[in-house]
Amino acid sequence: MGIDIDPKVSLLEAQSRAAKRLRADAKAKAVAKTGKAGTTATVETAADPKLDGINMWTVSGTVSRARGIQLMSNIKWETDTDAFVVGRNNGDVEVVGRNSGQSLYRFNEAKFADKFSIKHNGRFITERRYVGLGGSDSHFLTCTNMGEIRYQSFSGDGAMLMKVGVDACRMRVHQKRPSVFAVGGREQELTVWDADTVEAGSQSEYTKPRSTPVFKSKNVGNDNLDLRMPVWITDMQFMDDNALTPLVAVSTGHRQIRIYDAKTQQRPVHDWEVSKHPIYHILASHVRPELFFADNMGNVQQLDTRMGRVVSGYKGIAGAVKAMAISEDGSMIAAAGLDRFLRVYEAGGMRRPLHRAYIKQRVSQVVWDWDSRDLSSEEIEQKEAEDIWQNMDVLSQEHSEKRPSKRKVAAAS
Amino acid sequence: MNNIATSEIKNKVKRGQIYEKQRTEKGKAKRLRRKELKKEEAENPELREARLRENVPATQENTREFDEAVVADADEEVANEEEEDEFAQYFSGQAPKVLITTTPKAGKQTVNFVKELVSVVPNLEYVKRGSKFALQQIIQFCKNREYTDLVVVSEDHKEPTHVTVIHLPEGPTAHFRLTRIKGGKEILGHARATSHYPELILNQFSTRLGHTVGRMFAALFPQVPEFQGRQVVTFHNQRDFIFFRRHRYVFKNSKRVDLQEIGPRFTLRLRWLQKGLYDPVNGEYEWSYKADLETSRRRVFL
Repeated sequence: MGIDIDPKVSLLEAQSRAAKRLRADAKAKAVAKTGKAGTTATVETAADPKLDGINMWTVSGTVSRARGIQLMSNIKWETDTDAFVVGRNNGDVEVVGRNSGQSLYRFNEAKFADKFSIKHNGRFITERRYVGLGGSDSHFLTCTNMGEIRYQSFSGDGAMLMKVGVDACRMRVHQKRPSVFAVGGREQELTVWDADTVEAGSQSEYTKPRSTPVFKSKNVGNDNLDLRMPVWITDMQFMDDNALTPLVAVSTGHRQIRIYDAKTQQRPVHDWEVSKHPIYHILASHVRPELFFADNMGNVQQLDTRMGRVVSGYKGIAGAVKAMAISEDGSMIAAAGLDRFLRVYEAGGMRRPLHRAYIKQRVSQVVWDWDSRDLSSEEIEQKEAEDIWQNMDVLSQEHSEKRPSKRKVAAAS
Repeated sequence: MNNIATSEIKNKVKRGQIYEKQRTEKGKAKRLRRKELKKEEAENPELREARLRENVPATQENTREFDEAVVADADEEVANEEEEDEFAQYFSGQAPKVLITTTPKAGKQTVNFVKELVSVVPNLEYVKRGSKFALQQIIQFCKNREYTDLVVVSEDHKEPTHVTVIHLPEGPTAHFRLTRIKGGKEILGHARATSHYPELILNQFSTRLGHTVGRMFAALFPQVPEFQGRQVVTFHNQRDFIFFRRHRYVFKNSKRVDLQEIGPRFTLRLRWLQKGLYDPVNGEYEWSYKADLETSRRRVFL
């Protein structure tokens, strides 16, 4: 049974925890050559016919734990080339051309791989890891679990360094304004910053910023025993295009999903306990009022943000989901993680599994090949309106003739 | 006579007689056919070989569903990944140091089972579980004392029911259901164990998940066996059930080798595998059993 896969779904965008091998060096050279010759990038179909006709190819990399990719985001390199910015285990931030697989830019975070051990919130933190990564065509933005945030241009000048609290769990960049980002973590409230306007304390090291964040949340009220609720923000998503009074959805390790609206209050406007297990990843649909969330057991579920109710789940995932991505038209979602499979589902509807690809590595990040910055909100609305008009049935000639006659009958009786 | 349909005979006595007759004739023909076949095959042994080769019954094992995750023999990518995985240190020569304990207030059966295991795995250290420390603290203590693995036997109604194997220092953690335990002494004609390092057989751990589980078992035993002990430990995986057996092989003469079981026997079934150290609430599961994964009897995961 052959599955035709939409060329937009580059399954390969699912880069693995350890970057992939697949006869890499030789191929990288070959790809580079074809790139120079001006031909389009080589699309290597998997020689293995068992993959049900899904095309998979390795863009770059070898199996290496030190160079394993922690996070990935798609950017435009020099405003016209599609590229990925990746954060690696060894602290490298690298821009990799999407078609060529070439390394276009590399920056090494000094002291990233240093050994240390601190105790925070009763847990030992012994290694740095990237918890957030984003980029535009001129800058990239990284955040480590130690709360160190770097906003730096690819040309190398004018880095903005700042430090938020230790034990940050996630940083997300605004889909339209790449300088606006949200951070949260264990015992660390959600803060939204604009990197362009932050007054950094120092140019050369990570220090607390002198300015205040664009938005800072407040913990929910005490529980019925008048005890403070613990804070553990695991993931967040900007729900609309408004960057300065943002609407942010947040997932917690204590199984809640919360919505913060900077226009109204610091406390969440909605607080839903939706899962049996800690939620580690959420994904907001840009088309419908929906949130997808994944827990540590490999359950992906869908939440209706108007009702705050779990609508349904997606079946067949055996291991924890590390990343999800949504298609441009919002009709499909991709999920991949520790069980080494990338699965594409119909979003909503019957939630059927559409495609499945076995990626021999534990997957750390999935990116769908489209850019939310290309799509303005008016465009989305326009598109939706167009869809409505197009999907409407055209009244046939007979139909329109019949109706008046009915009216006539009605009028006569 | 044979082509009469007995069901159409209305007389009950006659019907019975004819049916009996048909049956004996059928049996006779079968015996005759087999006799001839035997004669033919005695003259020409190739025929017998060909017949046996073709006559393979369809089992659930050999009709298992296609699985992409089955590791090919020469899969470079998997081999490279395994060179750098959590067990890489063991496979490059680090001696295993294993601690075994139980859940608090373990019953007699559980302790006896643990003692059996102590005789199986060389250098396995049993520490009685107190009620003072949680398992996650014990893991830290083991890490500080450079243990490579921690095994915990859990019980229910004073019977051992689950085994958790935690690879140190950075995981993974596997949780197995434990059934059909038979101690060495319960096995008829059992042999006695010696303290030699056993040889290890890991059978049919074919998928990527199976590889991880197999490597986890391997990492409990010393790398080099002491062959003079002639003891073999087998983990045989069949449709996700992992059968544990221990035998001694006995050289009867220059041609014949016999097996004598030492024991114990038990069956394991993987419930979940977790990346990292034991953390059932917040840890990330690499694989966990779910009812909706079991779509058919021919779908197996290891």
